[in-house]
Amino acid sequence: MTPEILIPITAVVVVVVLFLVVFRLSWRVAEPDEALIISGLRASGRPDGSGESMGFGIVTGRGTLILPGVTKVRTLSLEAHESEIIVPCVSQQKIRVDLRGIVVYKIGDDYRSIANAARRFLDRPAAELETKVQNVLVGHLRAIAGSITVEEMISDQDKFTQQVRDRCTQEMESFGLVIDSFQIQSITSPSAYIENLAVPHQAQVEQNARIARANADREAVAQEQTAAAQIAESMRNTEIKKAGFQADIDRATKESEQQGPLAEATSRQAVVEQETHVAELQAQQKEQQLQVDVRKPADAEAYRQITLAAAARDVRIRQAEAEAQEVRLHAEAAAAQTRVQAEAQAAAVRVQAEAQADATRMNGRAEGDAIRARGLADGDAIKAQAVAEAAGIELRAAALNTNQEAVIAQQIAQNLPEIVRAAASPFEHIGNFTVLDGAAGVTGAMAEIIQQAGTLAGMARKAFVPAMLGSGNGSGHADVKPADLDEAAEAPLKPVARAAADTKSGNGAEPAKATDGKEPAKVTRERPATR
Amino acid sequence: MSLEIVGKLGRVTADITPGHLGEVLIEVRQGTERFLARAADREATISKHTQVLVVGSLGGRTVEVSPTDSMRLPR
Repeated sequence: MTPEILIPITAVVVVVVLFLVVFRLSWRVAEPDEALIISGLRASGRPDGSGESMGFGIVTGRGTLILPGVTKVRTLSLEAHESEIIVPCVSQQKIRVDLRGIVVYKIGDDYRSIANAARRFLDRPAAELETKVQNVLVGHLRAIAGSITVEEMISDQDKFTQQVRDRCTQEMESFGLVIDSFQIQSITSPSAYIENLAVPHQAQVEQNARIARANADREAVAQEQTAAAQIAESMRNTEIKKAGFQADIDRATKESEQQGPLAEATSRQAVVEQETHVAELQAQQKEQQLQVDVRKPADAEAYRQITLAAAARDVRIRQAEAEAQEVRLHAEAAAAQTRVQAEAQAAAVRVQAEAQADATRMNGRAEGDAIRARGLADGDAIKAQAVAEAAGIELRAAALNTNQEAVIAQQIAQNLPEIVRAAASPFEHIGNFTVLDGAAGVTGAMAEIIQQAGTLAGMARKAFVPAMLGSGNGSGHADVKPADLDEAAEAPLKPVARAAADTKSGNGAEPAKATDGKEPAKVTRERPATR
Repeated sequence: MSLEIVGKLGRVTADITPGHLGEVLIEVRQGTERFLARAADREATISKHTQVLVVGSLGGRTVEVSPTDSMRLPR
């Protein structure tokens, strides 16, 4: 290598290097967020020609060649700035509020904005820009706040922003600034206006909350109570079921405990029943034995004795009946015989008496004889009658039980003369008996008296004739005259007739007188015999 | 600058009402930027999220827009 060669090469290299260094120093590149403000030589001759008026050039987004020493290049940051603005202001209602807002702004990207900003803020610190912006915005915000109400501030963000835009844009444009964002972060009121704004709604909300809470509590309590009641009920049911089961268990236990004694008692009962049955059978056997041993023989003995007694009684009854029959037949036979005899005698006497009466009537003289004969006959008849009465009394005593009435009638007949006399006694002391009715009146009175006596006499005769017949039969005197019997029966009437005749005195009839002499004697004679 | 956004489509991000400026988001310079907007028809009200066509520039960052619901331009 020669030195002559090396020198030009080195000079060229040096020149090149120098050129590169100078070029590097002269070439400036604008960052995306900055603008190059070029002032000096040929600053206004830029092809874009934006800033020609004021004589400086603006370069954004590319490089440019400057001439050191004659051209001055400064950068203007286009980045966004954020500033906090606190504005004590008064609202439209003159209410003091404190606004706190954030504003984000940057220098506009167009050359006009960059130029405006470059003329105002170039090479100034960022704090100065911020202070300027704050002062401008504070004044405008105060004015804006005074024109709207607190409620609008709170709720109508767009309106506030609109106001800010209307008022601030022109000033910001003159600064070359663009507001990217403006936000009110908070609105506070020292007088608690905002808090009071919330009070009604808050109270409403609180009321609703309390109501809801109360309702919820109530429902919860109701549900709890219901649940508790259901729990208690289910517990009760459980206890009841437990008690029931326990009772069942106890009952079963007791029953099982009782099974032993019960079975024992049952078996004992069966034994007792069997024993009772055996005893009953024994008693029946004994009864049957007694029937055979005692009762049947006794019955047979009783039957035998009863039969014997009945037979003896029948025998006695038959004997008595036979005796009675015999007596009755005897009496009937005797009565029939007596009756036949008496009838025959009566017929005979009647014929004789008729004959005698005819003889007497025709021969008055023969009366005495007839009377005498009749008196004799009477004596015999009375004698026979006495005998017959004696026998009749015996018969009457025997037949007293059968015909007591006849005896009484006989007694009456025997006492009849005294009775009639007593009845006729009123007539005995009468001196003069005047009958106004004439003879018929006397006869009526007499007939009345005699009729009474006759009635009694009829009764006496009924009782008397059987006695007479019985006595005649018993005495055996068959020669008693029927006439005497009639006389004896009519004897009690004679005194009556005589008494009646006595009362007539002057008119005394012949037949009455004729009998008057004999009859009293007959009667007196008759009485003792009768008694 | 003013001319390059005219004819672009944008979307309303704040209501445009008579007497008040709204805000539209316009695609520009490969990004999106917000511009103040006024309705081309002064009495019209353009609600939020309405697609609009930038019909003019009022200088600075204020544009004049018209609702273009029926327009669909290719990107």
